Amino acid sequence: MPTALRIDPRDARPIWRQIEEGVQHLVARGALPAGTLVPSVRDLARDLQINPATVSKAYQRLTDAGVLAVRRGEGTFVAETPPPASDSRRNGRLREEAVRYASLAATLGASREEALSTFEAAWQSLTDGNGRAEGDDE
Amino acid sequence: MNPIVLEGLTVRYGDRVALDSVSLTVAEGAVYALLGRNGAGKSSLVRCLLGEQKPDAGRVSLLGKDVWRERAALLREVGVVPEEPDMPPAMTLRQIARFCSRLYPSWDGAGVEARLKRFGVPADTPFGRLSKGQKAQVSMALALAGSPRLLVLDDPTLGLDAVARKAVFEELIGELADRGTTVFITSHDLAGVERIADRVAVLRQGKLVLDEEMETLKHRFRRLSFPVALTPGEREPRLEALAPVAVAARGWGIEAVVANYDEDRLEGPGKGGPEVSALTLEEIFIALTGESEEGR
Amino acid sequence: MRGFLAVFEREIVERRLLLAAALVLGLVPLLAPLLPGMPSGPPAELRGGTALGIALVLTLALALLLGSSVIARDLVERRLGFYFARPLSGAALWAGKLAAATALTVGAGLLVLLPTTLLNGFPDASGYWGTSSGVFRSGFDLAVIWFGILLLTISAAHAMSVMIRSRSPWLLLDLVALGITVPVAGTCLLTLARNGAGVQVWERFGPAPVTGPTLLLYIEIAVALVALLGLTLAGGAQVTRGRTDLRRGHRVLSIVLWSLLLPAALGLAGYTRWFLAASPEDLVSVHGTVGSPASPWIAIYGQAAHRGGYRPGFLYDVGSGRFVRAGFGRSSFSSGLSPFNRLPLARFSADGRRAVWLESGDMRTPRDDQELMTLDLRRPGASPQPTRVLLRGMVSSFALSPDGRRVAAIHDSRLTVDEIDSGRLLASARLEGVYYGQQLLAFSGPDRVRLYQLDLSYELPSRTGMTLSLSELDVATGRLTTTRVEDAAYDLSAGIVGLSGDRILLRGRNVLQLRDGATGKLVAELGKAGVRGSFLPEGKVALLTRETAGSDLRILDAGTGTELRRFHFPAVRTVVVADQPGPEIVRVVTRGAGGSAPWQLWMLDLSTGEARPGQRLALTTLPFLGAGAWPSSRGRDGMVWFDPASAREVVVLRDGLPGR
Repeated sequence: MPTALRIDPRDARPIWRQIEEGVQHLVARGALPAGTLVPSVRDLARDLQINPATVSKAYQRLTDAGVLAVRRGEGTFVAETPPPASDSRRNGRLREEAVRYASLAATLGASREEALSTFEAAWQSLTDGNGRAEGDDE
Repeated sequence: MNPIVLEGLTVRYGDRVALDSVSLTVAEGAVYALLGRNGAGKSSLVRCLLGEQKPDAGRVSLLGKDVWRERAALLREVGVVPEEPDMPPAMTLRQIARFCSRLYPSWDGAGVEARLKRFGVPADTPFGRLSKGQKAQVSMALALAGSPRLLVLDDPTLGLDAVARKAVFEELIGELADRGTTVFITSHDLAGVERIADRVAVLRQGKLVLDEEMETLKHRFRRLSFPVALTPGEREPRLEALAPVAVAARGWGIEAVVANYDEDRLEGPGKGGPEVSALTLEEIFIALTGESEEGR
Repeated sequence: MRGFLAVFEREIVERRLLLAAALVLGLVPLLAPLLPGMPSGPPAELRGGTALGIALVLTLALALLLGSSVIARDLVERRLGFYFARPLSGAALWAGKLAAATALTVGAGLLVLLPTTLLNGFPDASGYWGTSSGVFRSGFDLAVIWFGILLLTISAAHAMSVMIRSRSPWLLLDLVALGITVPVAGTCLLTLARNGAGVQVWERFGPAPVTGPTLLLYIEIAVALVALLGLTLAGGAQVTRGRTDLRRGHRVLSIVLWSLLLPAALGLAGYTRWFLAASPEDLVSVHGTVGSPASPWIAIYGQAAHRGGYRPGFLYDVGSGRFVRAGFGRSSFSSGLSPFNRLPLARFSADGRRAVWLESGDMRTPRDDQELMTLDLRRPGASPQPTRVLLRGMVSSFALSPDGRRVAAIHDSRLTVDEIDSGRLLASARLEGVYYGQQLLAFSGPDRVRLYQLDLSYELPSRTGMTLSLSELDVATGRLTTTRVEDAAYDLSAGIVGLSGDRILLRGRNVLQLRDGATGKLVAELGKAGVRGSFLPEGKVALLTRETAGSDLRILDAGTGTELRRFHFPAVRTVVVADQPGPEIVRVVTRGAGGSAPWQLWMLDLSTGEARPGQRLALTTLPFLGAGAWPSSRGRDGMVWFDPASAREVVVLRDGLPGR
């Protein structure tokens, strides 16, 4: 599985949190359908060049949260019914990213309408399932 | 039991103090990174740690025992990747492996063969004729073959290209995933260390100026960028209140690195307030060690 | 052990080409007989010699090379960390590397010899480096010694390599310590060798020399072993305590090395001091004594106990027990003479004030030159003083003037007379011919020196024999006149018995003659076979003849040879004339047949002819003044001095006799 996960050292979040949220994100947007075998701790750690313990911690939290499920001897899979992210966290993240997008749009001199339509288009491409979620403005 | 405990480690070379009462502890299963500029005392520390050198003062406990006295016995459970690959240049890898295999009670000969094959290093080549990257890989393979409880890596990726560096780190990660070995690593490759270390220490002029969990470290360091709009009169009091570890004029503004970022006190990019961004380990390292070089 | 073997094997494998090269080098001797410029000889011998030569040079070079690089090069090139990052003890590392260097060195040497050995058999080292010294009796001995030298070289090369490579100021300390240790040890060994530690100990004076290792060899082996031990331990300490830290290693090495070698050198110096501090009490046998006419001093010289062939000489005051060391014996080592050397130990002046003797073998004088030493016998606490008289070449005879101020000597084919206090040469005359017989040199007046020579002659009726010649040197004019005494011809066993005033006693196998000392003219024939004679201190002649029923002592007038008195001792086998305690009184000691018979003292009155028996003496030895007897060392109580004046026995040399 080509991982769509990326680790960013500049991100203020710890790596395990970046993985945790990245997987949650992939699951939430359907890039990782229920029942998909996720990479082993070892493979993911090697891919990302990170400490396996970090991956392990993220997987542990995801398993505890019900996003992933461990089947003994087979590996770790995306759970059948992933629970929604908790409201307060979800709202916080949404607002945070919205502020970031809005300030970026303002910096680039886009109008409110222009920003909204760009957002619409992006949303559309996501639901079509053939685009990338992350911005590549870095 | 903590695999590594240093207490008051002091090393002097004549008048120069290479290590000034350094104390640190590496917990079982930890990946502990020791950073420092050249000449900060890392190599002296590693030599003392491995019982190669007797400190002028202080105690080194390796796997719970005094390393100076019980070095040979203790090193059966320690894998070492030296800063400079120092195997006898005339020996072939097969000979080196055979030599080492006689010294360790649990020697994974097959593992060495497999790794060398994976690296594409021929076993009949004299060590001296290998490339730098191959030498590092061989060092790594030999260090892992003794099934160590503790791995000590002294700048294992020094001078390696990106591919070789990746190969070394992949081996290390594999070892961590398989056996949960405790790792003590010194490195210049901060980006690489940032991803695997869970605890970071910084040596500066022989003193330990930082010894902290990676997560809390990254959490408390932030860069604050003050916009141009602020006059020095407005800026200075605010800067002083932050007690920054480093301040630099950059472009049209001023950047300050703070070591005790508090989300509640400095909430987001407010009006007239500084823009807040996270720092990579490298940036933190430069802020901690670079400033002092200028300040001297 | 595992670590040692691993290191050992690794070192050998890494340098295996060296062994191959040695084997190739071993082929060179096979061609030796074909090479131009080779001395002629049997091919097998040429090959053997060449092979041995190559092996020696190669092993020494390898010992230096491997010794200096075995650890130190790894240290400098920062490759020792490879070992120290492994579970390998420093001791195993050091031992493994040292053993490998030794094995490679020796192995290379043997491989050089291999082809020659296959062709001609093992070259016999003893054939080239003669075993004639008697110390090294076989090629095996030589091989063991060579092995020791290689080991020493390897470990010394290592130590020096570390000292030089570390570039630390400790090198200064090393140089200082080296500057103390080596000269001290060298001087001690040289001093011991000069004083006979390297001489075979002769248990008794038999015809066959005793062979076997000398004390000096044992000392040298001990010195080598201590050096080897020190160097090896220091190298080991440097590796185990210094580890990859070269400067620390150097420090540890120096501390261990010098804390072993400096005390060892001091110990050797102490031993040498003890060796040289032998007192008369330490003598186990006496090789010569000379008595002083008018003082209680004797010169004595003999074998000291537990000191190899050391034969110290002493001037010994029999009365007080005071003694002064004098190097009488030393000349016999440098010139290779046996202790039977006829040169008298010392000469005493007639007034008993002064003793003079010759010393050589000291570092102050060249090899054969003899320095005249003097001792003031009357001054308490006086020590031997060198004079300015230096006698060049081998001295065959010397005499002191009765006043003790001049010395005459024969050396370098010259008869010389020197003034002792000023060192001035008063006269020197060349002696013609080569001398093979016996000499007697004496002052016949204040300005006259007489030399009696019994010399080998081929012109006698019996074809070969000894003839007497008489030379007189006038010191004032320096003229030497030599007279050949025509009727004084003897067989080869002839000898000069003694000189007293103007009379001289000479003996041949069947003859004893009293002759005029100034002219050599025959005064009297004193007897035929079996007659022994001597001068009494006051000048009369004592003649001893052994009869079947006992012994006769006859006292003759020296001027005419007429008999004055005759004493008969029934059942006595040995008569020794002791002294003259007063005018006309002679004391003798007699002994019956059998080794355990007691000595009996007699007081003889020459004026009345009365013989009064004195006490019985529990003596086994009688080293009487002027008696010329060789004292035996087999006395039960040591060597006993009998003081005739008081008729007291004084045990002079109490301890250290063999068999006690």
